[in-house]
Amino acid sequence: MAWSDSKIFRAALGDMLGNVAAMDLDADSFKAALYNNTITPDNDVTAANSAYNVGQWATAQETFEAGQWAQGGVALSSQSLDRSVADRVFFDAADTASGSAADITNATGVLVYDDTLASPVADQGLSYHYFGGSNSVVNGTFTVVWNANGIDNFTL
Amino acid sequence: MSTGADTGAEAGDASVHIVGSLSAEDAERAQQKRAAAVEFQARVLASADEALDRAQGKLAKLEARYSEDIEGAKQGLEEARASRQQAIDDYEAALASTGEES
Repeated sequence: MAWSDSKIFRAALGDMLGNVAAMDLDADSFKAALYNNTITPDNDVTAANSAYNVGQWATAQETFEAGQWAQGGVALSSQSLDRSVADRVFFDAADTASGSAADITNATGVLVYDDTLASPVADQGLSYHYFGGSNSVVNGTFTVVWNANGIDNFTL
Repeated sequence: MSTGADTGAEAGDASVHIVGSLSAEDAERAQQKRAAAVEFQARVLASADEALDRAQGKLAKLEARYSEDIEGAKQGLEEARASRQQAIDDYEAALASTGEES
């Protein structure tokens, strides 16, 4: 199996609904970390294994360039948890861009994780997003364009 | 005394291994990269400022919310106790109506 889809982690949703983790989509700061095509994400892993630099999300598979797209990911900007649309609640942010002279190779997807959360699991993953294939840029800007329906969309 | 080039250096020697010279194009690109890094790190700093504000806001929110939640949980506990006592009373009343004892 390889990376082939985008998912919200079961643990993230369960831990939010069960008040196990204070993962706050209004208040917390989230980051987007790029990964290559050698990993096989699984949305059913434990909270611990959904975290940045754990399990599939180890730094060995991370794609970055210091000064252009930081290791550990780039912070989401203009985050919002939108409750204003009927039958939907969605988490969104502005598209996330690198510096303008980035060399990024083989970025296949991105992990969105809670950079504020320190316990019970630090840097717990919220969701991961497949780019549909591997993407590279040479001396340019690498931009993650989030889905028009938001980063994570809950349909009721 | 060895110059230390390529094959290693004796203690105290400086060793420089030049792979190639920097072309004008490379130099321009390096400059672009440095300028881009400044712009990127400025954004990282702005994000860090935002993250700090968010973290402070979250702490305040949790402190306020959990004090309310704890009070709410205490009330819930009292209501659950009262409901259980009512259920016991109702059960005993039902049992008594049949002439049996619990």
